[in-house]
Amino acid sequence: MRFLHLLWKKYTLLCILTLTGLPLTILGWTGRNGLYKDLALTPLTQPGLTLVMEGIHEGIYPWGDLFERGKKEDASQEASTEEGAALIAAEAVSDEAVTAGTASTAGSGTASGAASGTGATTASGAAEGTTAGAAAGASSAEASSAGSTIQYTEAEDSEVKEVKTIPEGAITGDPNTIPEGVCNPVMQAEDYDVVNVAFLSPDDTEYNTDTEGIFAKNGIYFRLQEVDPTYFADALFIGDSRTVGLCEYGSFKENAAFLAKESINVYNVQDKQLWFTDHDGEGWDYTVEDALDYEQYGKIYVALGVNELGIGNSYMFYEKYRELLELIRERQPNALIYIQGIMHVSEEKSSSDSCRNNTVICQRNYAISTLANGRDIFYIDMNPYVCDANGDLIEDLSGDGIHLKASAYERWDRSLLENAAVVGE
Amino acid sequence: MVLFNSLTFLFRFFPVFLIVYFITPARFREVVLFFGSIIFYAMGAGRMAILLTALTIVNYILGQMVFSADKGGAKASNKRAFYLAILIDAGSLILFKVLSGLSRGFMLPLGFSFYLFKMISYQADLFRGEITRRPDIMDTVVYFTMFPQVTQGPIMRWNNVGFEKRERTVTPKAFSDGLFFFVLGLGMKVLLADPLSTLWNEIEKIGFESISTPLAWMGAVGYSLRLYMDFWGYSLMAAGIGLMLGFHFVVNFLHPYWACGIADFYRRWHATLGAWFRDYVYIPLGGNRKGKLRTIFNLLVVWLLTGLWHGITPNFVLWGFVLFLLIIWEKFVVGGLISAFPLLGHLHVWFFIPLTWVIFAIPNLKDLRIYFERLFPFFGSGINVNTGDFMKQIMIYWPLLLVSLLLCTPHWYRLIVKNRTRMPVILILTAVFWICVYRIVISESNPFMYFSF
Repeated sequence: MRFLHLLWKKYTLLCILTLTGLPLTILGWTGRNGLYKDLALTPLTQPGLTLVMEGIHEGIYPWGDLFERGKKEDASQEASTEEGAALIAAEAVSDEAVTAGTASTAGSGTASGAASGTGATTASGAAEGTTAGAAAGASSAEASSAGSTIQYTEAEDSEVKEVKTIPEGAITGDPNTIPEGVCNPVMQAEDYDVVNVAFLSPDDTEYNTDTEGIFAKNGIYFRLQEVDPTYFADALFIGDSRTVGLCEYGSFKENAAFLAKESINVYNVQDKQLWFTDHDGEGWDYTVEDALDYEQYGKIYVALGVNELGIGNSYMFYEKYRELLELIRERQPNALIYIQGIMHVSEEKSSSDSCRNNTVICQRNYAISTLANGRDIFYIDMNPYVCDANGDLIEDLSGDGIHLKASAYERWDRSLLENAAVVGE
Repeated sequence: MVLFNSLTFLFRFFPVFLIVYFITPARFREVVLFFGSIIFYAMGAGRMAILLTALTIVNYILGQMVFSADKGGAKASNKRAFYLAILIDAGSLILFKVLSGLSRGFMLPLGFSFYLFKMISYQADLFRGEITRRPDIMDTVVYFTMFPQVTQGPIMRWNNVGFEKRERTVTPKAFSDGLFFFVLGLGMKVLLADPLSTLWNEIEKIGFESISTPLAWMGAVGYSLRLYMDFWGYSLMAAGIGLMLGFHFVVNFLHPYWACGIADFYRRWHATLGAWFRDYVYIPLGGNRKGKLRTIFNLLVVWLLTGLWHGITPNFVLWGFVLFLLIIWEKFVVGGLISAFPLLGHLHVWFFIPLTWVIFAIPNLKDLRIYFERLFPFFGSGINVNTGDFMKQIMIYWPLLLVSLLLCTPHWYRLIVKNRTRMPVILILTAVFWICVYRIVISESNPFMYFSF
């Protein structure tokens, strides 16, 4: 007793740190196979309390176990934290890790809805994708055949490695090469389930030139063309820090509305308060739903995807992106939706990061480009405006290899001005 | 791992090391410290640990030849060994610096500039007879390699740490104080310096040509504070570990931003480096005893070398040269005025030092020019400047800037240090420690925490 008293008196700070650290460590170790089963721990280099801290960051609180235990059966299915944890578990794992298990948890509900409607059309979509191969990535179109079965092929030997069944609509690029054509603003389109018939062209519309400039299949589409800045007077831009930059340094800040925030990704964009700036330049906090209910827009531009490059895989990304588009379509039935391809990163960034690189960006872009339909949902890609011949973001245009410098937003502006769809022509 | 602010160090290496260190009988502890240090270094620098070990052994052997037991001074053989040692140490430092400057892929071995400076000072002290007893092998290798200092200093000197005292006893007070300084330093590094560093990233992201003048100044101040919190924090951690292992506290920062004048600033900023240049370059060149012109020349040499020591890109040379000019200006022009009005000296520091850090921060001279044009906008105008950028950033960074500024005054720091055994301070430090750990966990699992796009 006397010894303990002395210990406490002489080494107070050490004692307190030990006394606070021990319970955390015990919590971490006991929860290792339970509460924290989805978080990785390397005991050689990390203490057990890492799990507790990481858990708190992911929204898994140590006391969460107590509540969860009551409803043990469905705990693993419903909790939103579980989904988050699954994403983390899949972090840094590229496409080949799509096990049937994660696919079914992540896609619960949304995938099945799409599957029923698109069965027939996707097949033709894929076929046309290859015919339009000059403009679109032929190799990537081949790599992903739509249908109920996706065949994964390795780049080196193009030998069928694994055949996995995942819901259709799942898109995978070739994991090892940059698909051709991704720098082209025009991508082939697949039919997308949620279409507003108001955007179908009249039956007798004729298009003389072929696919150039058109996201088209069935001859009922818009041409992308040059517009003037007033085009954006009824536009809303949704995005991450890159869109924050567009709001602050682009030339549309007086015209368009913006809804953006740093570190936003497709997984959290619907849950967070973002910064909303309306057409008059006034700003306040808003969720996506708030902003979509605020007024009806003519065009909605979405630019997401850089923050989640290390999270999940292309398929999960595609699914969450689709969920967002479905929400937008539901709340904004008359708006044109623009999917903006993820801007590439600089060569230096790209070559030094295993997941945040241009190969992954190309795969992701390929995935979301297929969400466009050429009627009311368009895929546009700014990369030709800011990338060099290798598809890397030009170093001079960026201070950090990821964002455009203030002085370079003019290029993004230009890409938007030159690639707009005009209704009613 | 190698960083003190990593999970591996905090929860694996350091606790295990401490336990082994303290269950070992006192007279064998240096062996533990040596092997622990080599393991620590190898964990961060891999095979470069071999280089460190080799240089350590070479310097020990040459040191034995340099050391002269006679009171009468160095003999020719001592002299030869000394010159050979300096040739090896300074030569490899210069060689590696040049190599790292020439090729992008070549990295300077971890802590190279720091431990080679220790080796040079060791040889010089032996040669000049300032080390009076023949150094023991264990003392020597521990002195060169000891892990609290091997990566980032402080550049401890043989004589000022009682290295000749073989059996180090660690009192409970020293141990607790050491832990206190370690946690305090950890807090500065993790809770102030690291979050502040994103401000500079933000400015680089916008591009220097497009920042408003207020933001340019905020960036300069933010960078100055971040550098200070980072380096001071690290030095406190190193000194704290030293105390816990039975060494003296090494003062490396003495409230530099409270200094009266630039010269005073550099007596307080990274003091062990300044003292090194003073004792092994400036004074051997004659210091200020050989006339005004010679003094100016000596100062020029010292400051150019200081610049080159930090890096061999042109901005470091410029940085050293500007400091040389400022010190000359202070010494020969406004010196009297400053001693009459100390406030003038403070203003000197607060105005010029952040500007010199901007030179320090920007390797490319063209970018540097652009940044100065934004600081002083009458020399040029920006491109696509958003005047709201300052308000946006100050709303984010004011708490960090404020706390860092408060820590720049001696008063707050002294208040904390004075009350370090009291419960409120201990509880605050406990909170600081766990918040640090939380942030380290998050940043290690997501290295891009500071770059959320």
